[in-house]
Amino acid sequence: MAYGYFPGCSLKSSAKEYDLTVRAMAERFGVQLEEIGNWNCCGSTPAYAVSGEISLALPWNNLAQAEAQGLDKVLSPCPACHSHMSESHAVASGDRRLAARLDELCETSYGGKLELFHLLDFLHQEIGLDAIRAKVTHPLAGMRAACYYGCLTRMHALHVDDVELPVKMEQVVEACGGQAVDYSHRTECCGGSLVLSKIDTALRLSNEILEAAGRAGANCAVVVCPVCHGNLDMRQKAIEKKYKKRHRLPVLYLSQVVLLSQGVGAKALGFKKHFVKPGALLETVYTPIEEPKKKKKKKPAAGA
Amino acid sequence: MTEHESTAEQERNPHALRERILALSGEDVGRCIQCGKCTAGCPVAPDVQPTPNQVMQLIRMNDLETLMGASMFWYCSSCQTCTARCPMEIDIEAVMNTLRRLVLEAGGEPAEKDVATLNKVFLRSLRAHGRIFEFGVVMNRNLRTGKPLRDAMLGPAMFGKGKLGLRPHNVRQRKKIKRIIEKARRFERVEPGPPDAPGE
Ligand code: SF4
Ligand code: SF4
Repeated sequence: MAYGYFPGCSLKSSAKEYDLTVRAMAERFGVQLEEIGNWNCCGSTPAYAVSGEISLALPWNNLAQAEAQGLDKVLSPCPACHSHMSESHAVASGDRRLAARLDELCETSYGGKLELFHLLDFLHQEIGLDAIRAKVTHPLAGMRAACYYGCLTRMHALHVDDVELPVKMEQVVEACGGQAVDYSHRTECCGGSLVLSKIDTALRLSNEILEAAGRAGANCAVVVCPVCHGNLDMRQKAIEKKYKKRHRLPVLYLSQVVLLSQGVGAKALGFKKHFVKPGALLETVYTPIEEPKKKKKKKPAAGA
Repeated sequence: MTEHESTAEQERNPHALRERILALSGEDVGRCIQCGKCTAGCPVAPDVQPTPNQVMQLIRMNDLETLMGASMFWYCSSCQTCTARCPMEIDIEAVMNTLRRLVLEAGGEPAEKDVATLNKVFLRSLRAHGRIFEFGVVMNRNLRTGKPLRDAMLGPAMFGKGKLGLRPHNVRQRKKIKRIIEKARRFERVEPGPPDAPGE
């Protein structure tokens, strides 16, 4: 069965490797993704900050398009897009007058029949942990992942996981043979788009997350959001400079983790696009066919 | 409601602000019990005044003046932690967003101009292309906030990784997107000038 696919603006630019690996992952599970034709930006926070109608109408237009395409399930890997789409979708069954107004604005009509998924509930509900486990050829022994949810579970239009104590990302990492560390900042905010306006606040928040992951002995962070990835990976150098601290913590998308456990190489995973190179991580995590140079240096965890 | 009307209303009715927020967001701040949970979990609260629970109290005190100059809701990252935890089930994040709109609607100067500028630049890009052109947004923001070299180091690195396109993606139906943005009701104009008369 074909799933509608809404990549969104970030996955078309700063988060290309997320787009690439979500598609590759779906293919490996035999899921066909069909991009929503001619999609437009969901409006994100700025549209919401300026007008309720604009921020509902922009996703509405995409939803109507997906429905017109004959799709009935839509996957959007970006939590922000997914949240805005879900808020808009809720209008279809909740507020008839507003729905009519959105139809009028968008010069189209949306019947509200779609089912919307973020990557995390897509993996759990549509693929399933068993199927993920069954496909593992290179168990990620040695991976100590700090799974980072940020504000994903708080978005009230979504019910991706438990609000305060989510587990779904950890479960996927463990299904791939990796280990998930327990740490304090799994659901703390990374600062989101504040990085473009209030950079000091955003760097402080992201630094706290990286530090907490480091204290817990993580050798990578795992995320399911292009904004989280941008703040933790792209800005990591700036964070290190500001706080005079060396983190060098590779940040992986969950889709990359799943593919990694299936033996997919660094090139196809888009690691070239990362700012913090996951090279050293790969040496510990990955079980290469030849030359097993497993250097297991046991470093005592800082602060222990 | 014009600026004058709302000020006059403010003086007559001691609950004007609370009622205005209720009308715009559906959230009744009057239910707040000042437990402070919203502030305790707020990631940006350490950097700003007034804090989220203080904002709630200022609304109840009908103190539009203090709120007009407040930073809190411009810093708000919309993480919804406060909303998820409020024991009185107030959607605090929606209240913060409503305050942003209120300040702009009343013609006030945002206390944190860079946030408002970013929003504006982002929407302009969206209106022009139908999608967000990240490079354009960053450059434009820099020009408008008078910090042309901000993120200058990041730019080339992003190009190198193929993460920033130089040319925008245009959506085929971008005329329609423009129409949606122009027809929709809003408080703030996307950019000054006659084609953008506010709705209603
Ligand atoms: S959490 Fe809710 S009740 Fe408590 S102070 Fe904040 S707004 Fe008021
Ligand atoms: S939504 Fe805004 S006010 Fe609420 S906790 Fe997050 S940053 Fe603070």
